[in-house]
Amino acid sequence: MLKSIFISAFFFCFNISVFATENDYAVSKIPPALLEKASAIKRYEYVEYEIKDIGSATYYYRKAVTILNENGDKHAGWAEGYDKFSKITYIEATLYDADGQKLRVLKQSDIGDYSNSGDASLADDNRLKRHNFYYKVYPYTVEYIVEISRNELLFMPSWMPVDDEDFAVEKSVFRIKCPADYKIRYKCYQTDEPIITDEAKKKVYTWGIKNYGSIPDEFASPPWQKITPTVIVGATDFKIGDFKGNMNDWVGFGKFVYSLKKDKDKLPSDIAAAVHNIADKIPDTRKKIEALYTYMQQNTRYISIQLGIGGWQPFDAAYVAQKKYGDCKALTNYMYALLNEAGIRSVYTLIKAGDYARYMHEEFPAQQFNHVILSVPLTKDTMWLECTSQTLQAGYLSSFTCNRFALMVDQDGGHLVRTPSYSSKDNQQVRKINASIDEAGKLKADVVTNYSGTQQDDLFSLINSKTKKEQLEVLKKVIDLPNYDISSFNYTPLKTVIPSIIEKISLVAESYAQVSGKRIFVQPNLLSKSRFRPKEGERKFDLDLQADFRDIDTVEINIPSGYTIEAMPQPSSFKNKFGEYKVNFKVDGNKIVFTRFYEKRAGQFPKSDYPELVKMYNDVYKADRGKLVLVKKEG
Amino acid sequence: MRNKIKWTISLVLIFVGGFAIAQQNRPKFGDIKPNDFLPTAYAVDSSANGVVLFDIGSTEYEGSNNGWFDVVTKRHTRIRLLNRNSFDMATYSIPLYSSGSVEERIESLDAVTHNLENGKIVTYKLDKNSIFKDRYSKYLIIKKFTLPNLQEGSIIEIKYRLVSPYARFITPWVFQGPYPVIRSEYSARIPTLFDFVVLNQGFIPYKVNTLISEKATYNIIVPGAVGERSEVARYDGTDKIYNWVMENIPSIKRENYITTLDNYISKISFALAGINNPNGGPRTEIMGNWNKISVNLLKDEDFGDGLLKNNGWMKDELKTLTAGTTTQLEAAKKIFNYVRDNITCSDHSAKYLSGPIKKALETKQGNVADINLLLTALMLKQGIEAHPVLLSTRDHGNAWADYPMLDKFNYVITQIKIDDKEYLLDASESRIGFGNLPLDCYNGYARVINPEMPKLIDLSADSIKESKLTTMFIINGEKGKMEGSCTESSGIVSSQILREKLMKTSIDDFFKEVKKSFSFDMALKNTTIDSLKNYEQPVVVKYDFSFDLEDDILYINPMLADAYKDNIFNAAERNFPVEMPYAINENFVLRMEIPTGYAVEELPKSTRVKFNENEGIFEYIVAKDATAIQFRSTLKLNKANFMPEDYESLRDFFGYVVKKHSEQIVLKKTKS
Repeated sequence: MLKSIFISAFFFCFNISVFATENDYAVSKIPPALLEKASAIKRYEYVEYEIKDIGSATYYYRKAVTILNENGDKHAGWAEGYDKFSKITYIEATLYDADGQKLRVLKQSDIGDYSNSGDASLADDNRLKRHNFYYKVYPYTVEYIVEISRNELLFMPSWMPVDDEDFAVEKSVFRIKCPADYKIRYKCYQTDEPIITDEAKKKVYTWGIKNYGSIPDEFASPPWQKITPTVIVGATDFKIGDFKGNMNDWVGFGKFVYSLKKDKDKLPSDIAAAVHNIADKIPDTRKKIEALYTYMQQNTRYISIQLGIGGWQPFDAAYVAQKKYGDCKALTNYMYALLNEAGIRSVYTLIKAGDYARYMHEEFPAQQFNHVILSVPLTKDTMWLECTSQTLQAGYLSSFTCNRFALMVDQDGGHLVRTPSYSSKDNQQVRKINASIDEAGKLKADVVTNYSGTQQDDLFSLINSKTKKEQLEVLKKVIDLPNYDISSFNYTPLKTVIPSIIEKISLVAESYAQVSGKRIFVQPNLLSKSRFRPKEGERKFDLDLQADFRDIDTVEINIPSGYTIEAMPQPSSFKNKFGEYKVNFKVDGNKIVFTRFYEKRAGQFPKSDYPELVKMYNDVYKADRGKLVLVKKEG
Repeated sequence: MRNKIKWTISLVLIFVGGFAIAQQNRPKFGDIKPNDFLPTAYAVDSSANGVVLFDIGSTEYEGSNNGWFDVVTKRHTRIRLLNRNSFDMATYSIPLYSSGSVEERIESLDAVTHNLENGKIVTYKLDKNSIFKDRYSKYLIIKKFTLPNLQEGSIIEIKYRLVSPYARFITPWVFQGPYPVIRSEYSARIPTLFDFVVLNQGFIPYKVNTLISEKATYNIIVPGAVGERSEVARYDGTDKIYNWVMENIPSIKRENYITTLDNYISKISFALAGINNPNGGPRTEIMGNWNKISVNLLKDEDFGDGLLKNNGWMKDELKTLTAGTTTQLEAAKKIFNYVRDNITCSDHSAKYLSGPIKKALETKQGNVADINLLLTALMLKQGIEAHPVLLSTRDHGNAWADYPMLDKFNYVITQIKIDDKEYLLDASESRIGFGNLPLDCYNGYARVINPEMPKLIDLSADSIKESKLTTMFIINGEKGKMEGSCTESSGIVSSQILREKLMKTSIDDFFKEVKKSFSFDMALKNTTIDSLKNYEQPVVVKYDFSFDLEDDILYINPMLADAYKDNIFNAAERNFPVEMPYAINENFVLRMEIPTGYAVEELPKSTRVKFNENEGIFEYIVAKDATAIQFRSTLKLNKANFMPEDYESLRDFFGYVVKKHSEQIVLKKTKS
């Protein structure tokens, strides 16, 4: 009780001394240019991160957002997570009407306090506080004043004042305050270097923006820090729990991570014996690794337990050996211990995982990771092991972790490396269809498809986690045919260097070909039709295309005898910076032969290329849907 | 102290007697034989990744030490994990409810993994440090744990005893889940003091379904006042003993077009109808009948109490709102629009107020009960006959028409009556017009809370007739161009969806999509959307278009961009009834002049198909005269709900629609 009185009293002074301003949130005060295309406007934001010492900091913000319409409602609520290392010490919120008149203030009893541990986690201490005024008389303004105390410097806030697309900013200020002798690190994107001042024995770094107009939501736009002002901040010396470190460079950060996992690799004797039993008889190192990886996969499973420092520190190898489960840190550490026992050196490697998480600030050492994998340096190359999967092939990283920076961590510290990238040659879909149609338009088709690389990732997890019945359900959703049944299907995974899966499907589609009187209409591209067509028009940002793939199709369709071709689509082909496309239609006696080649390349392109990209998508869409018209011979 | 011991003994004797038969064949915890590891698949479902071998539960009442009863539930489950894709079965979440110091607790918990290692059974216990407690919300704690040392083929076993101080609630027993179950067995021993209605749900027959009565004695510890000793009260009465057994229960999975899986899962639930007085006094009615419930609800300060008050504070508000209106209907619409447009709904599942009804008006927010009870109060104050109406939304599952069980309801709307015409109103959704309800409300029955006449209102999906009419005219324009115009009028539900969509995308972008939906290149102009903001009327989309003719032979699908391209029922099999969101009546009309210089080479055949005699019809009519082609497609289903037996014919019916909708008109150039 005493504590909370102290805090609010403290805040009272704080507000008055530094920014006692009672802001005027009348909508009429918004510069008209900001209103254009915006659904919400940040009127005022003041963010201050104050470092007390190497193990504690205060994060304070005051933020007012005017919501102009229903689409802006998502910016009206407030939510903040907390855990063992942080505490929300102060919350104040006010709702204003269009004239800037106070309508309501937050009552402490209105704040929801929830468990924030996801379904995927067995135990963690993530919690969440949440509040919303639920107002809908537009425009209105909400203001939140929040203070959070943190007892660690591992995580520091970034400043990204532009919260969203269609969102303008009238004013935002970011300040870092730290002891004069503390060296803070930062990196600025799309904004100037900070103004540095001294304030009561503390050094203060200040950034700010004013009157920043809203930006549109565009397909394939570059990462946020490349298009809006962003400042990221990192520690030098820091402390979390009982662990200290220095983040000045990747080496130092790596040393800290290593100190968390050091001496956690002792295996119980029965497991050590099992390792030798498996590995000693195999001469080839790569084969040894594969065998031990398989052993690990067969004997463990992924269970997430993240409590306190356990969010960063792996469980002992002995714990995993006993329970036969662990999270990414524990399982990677366990695999490390298994390899170590077999005399193979491997490296605990931090990574930012996720299909769309390929970017990190590689030149800025900081805690930017959410996952751990194992790298095994060999004489010629490096083998990569994803230890949370019970099924993945040794050495293959899926789209979850491929093609990005990762931090290898050992006793010498951390070293950034890149994980393998898979090109369009690796990520293929090669399909061959043998089909026939009868006079009623009924289609029978045998489809054989070879998926490889990232194009087999989803399928791989499907066939490894679902029953045959469930696989069929998914298959029925994926195949886009009007009226059909699958008579049989099966999958054969191949352990090629880049993994691949052969899919065989037999299907029957009643009236696939349209019969109108004496004519039959046939679309020979049964299963490989592109669906996406981007929005036409002006574009603000450059293009960042992510997918690299190659699809090759051959379709042969036997047609009933006694028909001639009345109309046939034109072949189409082009090659440009985004890729290559070629389709061809041919009739060979009673057989239609359709071939298609489509390759897309990832890369960055100037926005001036956008019309060409749109045209390409549209052309592919159209050519993919070409139809032949057969007409019955007279007499 | 002495009394307590005696009580324990007497109770044990009674229970041994009562359950002797039922418990005879019950498996013992840990009684596993190497043979149990032999099967690689089970007959109940040969493709299952894991199987529940048995799931045995029982619920009994015990005298509590707090002057009343505890509900004690025991459960023993054994599971075979055939492969690693069933390992999620080894992770358990047990919810425990609590309010203040009154909380449910687990008194004993055993959980083990049995593995067959080198021909021997090795058992690994769950260690107590690996049981985690998640304070999920104010009223809910979740105990979570996962079993250690899993292997493909492991048998896991869980046994616990859960004591609940909430004597009015018995947790439902669910027989069916995401994995198949070989045997599920549940018994409940309930003192007749507690008069429960037992509700059976699902399609799987019982192997055992019995009810017997038996004498029973309960000793209840009544805590003394401060400084005084506790006393033991003895209650002699009769127990009802239920036994249910189900065998070979398939797993249950969601299919398209069902409201909620919860309506179909095999389970038993209990609803308290009343509590008899142990001392012979009058019984406490819990369930009552709808007349009584209506009286009570209208007195309840969390529901209707505020409706009956003078509510003088509304006077000024109403005066401003209804200024300039001449009829009660106009006034009602003004009031409705005001509430809908100004008060935000923060919770769409609530039947009780979160504060006084005035609060919703002041804070401009509230749950659905706050909003629609406020609406009811305003209508009453205006002198309009108005009643709250209770219903259960689609996600919440069926409300039982036969039992007045308040638990089964989660939503309040308002009924008003003006000039003998009744209107149902819901002001909690931003884009629902006066007299319309959101789709989610159409879930069977709704109950008018009117003590004089608490009648049922039919709100089935069958009663929504969603009509759509598209008319297209295409004529020969200048310079060989074809000119067309389109008017598309949506049904009430599609209009809501369209309004929702147009809130997020601009009208420009919407028409760009319309343009894209045609299979040939065309230019759009004169685009308009009517009634976008007038929520009582359907949205009408209009545009003109033009296109060039280039080829010698033209193939034109008369449905243009409106064809059904896929069968909405793509699964070959169906286990559940088909519950479509509404009944449909879709009409598409085209009149197209034969392009100058072309002649009709071929037309699709006209056809008419009925579905189940008079439940639906599909008409596809094409005709031509010297100058034009006339075309009409009508697709009509008179109801929305169909039995699983109808699935195949429904699938064929839509398959036929898709087939006809893909047919083409062929035109040929007459001279070059």
